[in-house]
Amino acid sequence: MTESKSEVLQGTLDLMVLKTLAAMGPLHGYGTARRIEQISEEALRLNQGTIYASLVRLQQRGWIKGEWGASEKNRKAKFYSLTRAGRKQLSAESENWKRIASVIGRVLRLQERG
Amino acid sequence: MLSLLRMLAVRARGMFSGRQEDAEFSDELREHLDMLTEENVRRGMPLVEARREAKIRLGGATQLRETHRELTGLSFLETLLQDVRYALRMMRKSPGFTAVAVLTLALGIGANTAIFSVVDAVLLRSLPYPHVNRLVILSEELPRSGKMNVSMPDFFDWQAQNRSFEGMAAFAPNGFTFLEDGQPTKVDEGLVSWTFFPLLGARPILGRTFTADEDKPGGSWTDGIVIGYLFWKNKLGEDPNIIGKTVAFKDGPAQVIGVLPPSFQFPGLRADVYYQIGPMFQYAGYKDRSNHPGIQVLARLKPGVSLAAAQADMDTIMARLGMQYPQSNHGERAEMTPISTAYLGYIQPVLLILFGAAAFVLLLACANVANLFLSRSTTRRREMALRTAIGATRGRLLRQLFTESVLLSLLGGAAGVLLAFWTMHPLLMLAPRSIPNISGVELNTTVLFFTLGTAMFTGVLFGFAPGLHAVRLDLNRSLKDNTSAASVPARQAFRSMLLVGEIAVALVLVIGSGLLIRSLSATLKVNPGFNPEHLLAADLHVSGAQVNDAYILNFYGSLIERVRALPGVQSAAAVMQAPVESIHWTSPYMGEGQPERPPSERPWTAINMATTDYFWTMQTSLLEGRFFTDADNARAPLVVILNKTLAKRLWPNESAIGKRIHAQGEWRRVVGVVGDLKQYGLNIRAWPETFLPFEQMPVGFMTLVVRTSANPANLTHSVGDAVRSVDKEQSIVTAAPMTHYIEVSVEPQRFSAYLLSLLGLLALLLAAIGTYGVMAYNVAQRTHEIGVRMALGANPGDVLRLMIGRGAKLASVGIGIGIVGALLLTRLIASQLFGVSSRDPLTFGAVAILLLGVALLACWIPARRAMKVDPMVALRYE
Repeated sequence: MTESKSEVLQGTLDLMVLKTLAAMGPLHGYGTARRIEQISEEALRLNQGTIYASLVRLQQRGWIKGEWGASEKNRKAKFYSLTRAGRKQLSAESENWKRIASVIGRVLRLQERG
Repeated sequence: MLSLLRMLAVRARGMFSGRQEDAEFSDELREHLDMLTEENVRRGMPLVEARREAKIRLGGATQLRETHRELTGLSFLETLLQDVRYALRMMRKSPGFTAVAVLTLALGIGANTAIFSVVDAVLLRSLPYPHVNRLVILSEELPRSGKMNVSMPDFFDWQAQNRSFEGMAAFAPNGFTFLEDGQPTKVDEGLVSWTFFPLLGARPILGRTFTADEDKPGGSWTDGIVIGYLFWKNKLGEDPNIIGKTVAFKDGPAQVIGVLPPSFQFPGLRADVYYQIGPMFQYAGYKDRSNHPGIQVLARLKPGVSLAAAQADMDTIMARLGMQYPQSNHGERAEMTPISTAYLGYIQPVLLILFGAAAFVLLLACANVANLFLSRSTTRRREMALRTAIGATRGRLLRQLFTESVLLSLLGGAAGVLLAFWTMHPLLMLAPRSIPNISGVELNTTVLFFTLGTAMFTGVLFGFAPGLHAVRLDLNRSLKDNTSAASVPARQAFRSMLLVGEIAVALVLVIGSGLLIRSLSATLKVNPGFNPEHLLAADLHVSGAQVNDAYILNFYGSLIERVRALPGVQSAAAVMQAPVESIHWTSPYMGEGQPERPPSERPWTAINMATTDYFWTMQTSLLEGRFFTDADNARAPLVVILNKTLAKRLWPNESAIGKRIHAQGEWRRVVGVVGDLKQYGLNIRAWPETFLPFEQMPVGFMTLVVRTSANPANLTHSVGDAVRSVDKEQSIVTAAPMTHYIEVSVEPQRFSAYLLSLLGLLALLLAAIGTYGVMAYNVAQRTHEIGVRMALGANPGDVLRLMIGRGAKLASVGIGIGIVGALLLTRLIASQLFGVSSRDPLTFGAVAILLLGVALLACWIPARRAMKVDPMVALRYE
């Protein structure tokens, strides 16, 4: 059971990372984590290191790629960006997520019997 | 699928670029930390506080790196490396343990490597021909003859009429004299049909082989010869322009048309020089279907034709020939033998037995090392428990244990290869030269791969037992309690099983070698029908244009006279076929007063020609009648001497003397009966044999036998001089004391007996060490108990009895199981035994007692230590 739960969480984080990179263009790990926190209006306080597991997983599947470049302050940093496969995956996953969310929403809206 | 491949690729890359990627990730994390810190500083935190908070937000760097490493696939190789490093450290820490384990494994793996290298050369590589599984040797068999060479006209008929073979070739050995710098030197000549080399896939490195035109039946000789690589290299100086050049032979010059590659070999025909066989058909003997010198036939089945179908085809042809030529062919069959059976059939069981025995020795080595590991795993139990407690999974522990055992066995394998390398040559000296490709034995890649595989397998095998114990560990107990592991009954039982098994296996091997040795000694005790001591045998083959019957008679007559005059010589004679190698000539026979039958249905006798003093020189016993005399010459009535076997077969209840026998085309009167001479080998029942006086049937190839009072080997030189003094054109082919030929004839038996004994000895040694190990461990573990017993009044004798009693009980069980196993397994060597049953009670009993003695000795040494236990020390010890 714990296994499948963490899988869902992993999947959620991966989806957020994909979406963030799609929206913001190339970002380094810090930027990605920070961005997700900001979007969630600081509701989601990540243990920021966990973002790297997600980044490795996405790279291994070929959905994002990482390249070393210079950061804003001209420091060396690794920038991640979406690949074409990643873009496709994102739209598929988004559809999927929306469908699940709507199903869950409908289920949760069920009236409880008095 | 694709994503899986990509992931594997990424991970694989991770394995190799591991360090770099690790460093990059650390950089990435550091940057991240800096950026977080800056952000915190911007928010107004003091630097120290900002940095601390950043570290918390990011999470533990070590943990992150570990996860990253695991995800990017660094873990596999790194874990392996870690395990290997750890295993090496463990080995260094206990060098004694490591040395004993590696040495034990080296013995087992080395023995297997050595035997396998022989199997590889002889069974796997000795017949390097295309479609070798379709090659067969054809021979003929009459109702009462046994296997015979093929008559040439039959061969031609087979070639023309068969529908089952894509090719047939004839071959026959012959002797030949090469003039090396004018000096006559005997070389081996092969007569072959033009199809012989193509059928064996032999392509000459220079020139060509024979054409169909050069090999016409009964055609005339061309002076072209094909030569073997070694002859070209050793005698002709590897001349690259040899093709078309003329080489001097005694019978005239010959022109080299082709040189065979170094790899070419054929167990059925060892030759330096090859001539076409077709022209032989001009000689009457070769045209004869019944009384002929015979040729050997090699053929290749067409693809998809089964042996049975080909046999049916040949049966039809032979039936037709039987109708056409009833006198010679009636009832004759063609026998087909796959080439591997024909040339390797006799050695294959021997090698497989040795291979099996070597596997047993390896098993013993494994058991001993497993036992060592088990003893050590007891001391390592706390280590394992600790590692489990701090989170190592069982799989992880198992992996480490197997890494250790495989690493150890690889070391053992490497040492084993060295051992094989050093011992192989002395061992091969024992091997009979007659074994196909025995000179090709080497440690090649195939052998090394075999060794590697064996070592890996061995490592897993002996790592298995301690591994199982490690994963069955009870954490709580192991960490808390400090007492001996011998109290774990399962482990104790396992050790006992090892001990019983080792003794059983060793018993089987030692019984096997005991039987072979008894068989060898029984063979050597056989009366060969003559006295081989102080006897020289020199093969001669007179050749040259001047050779005819008169020349031959005169040559051998003068030679015997001159040799007899040499100092130390007591008597000398000549015979066509001396014991103990083979029989050359055979003939159908018929006794006087027996119903007349066509020759093809008559029984067969060996035919041999002997000079007057032959039996006297050999010291063969005369049973009836007389030996040959000088009066039995070409003008006298035809007479024969029979061996006992033939005389008994013809006239079981009456004297053979004065009766007549029809053999070799004539009626001949029996003048004597002699004891059987072992023509075929000591352990083979004598064939019926008929001796003709040399003068009544002279041939050019004879063996001179010389009885001396001194060492016969010293006589070789002066006999050679005598030959040259009679005719300087002639020379000895080979000469050796008769005892040498007897030695050579038992070489195969000696080879298997010694090698199996060596393996048996190894097995015995390993079993003794194993028993000692188990018992010594037992004593060590029971020190406390023994102390208590002695404190309570047991005397040392009781302790000794207790410890030895246990060992003796286990050993007896092992011996019991071993005897049952031996009864089943020795049947496999029954075909190799002579003069001793595969269930020989003497061998079984003696070996059982030997094993029991060795086991008791192995128990006694540690038990004596137990006896000396000081109860005070033993009790204080824990």
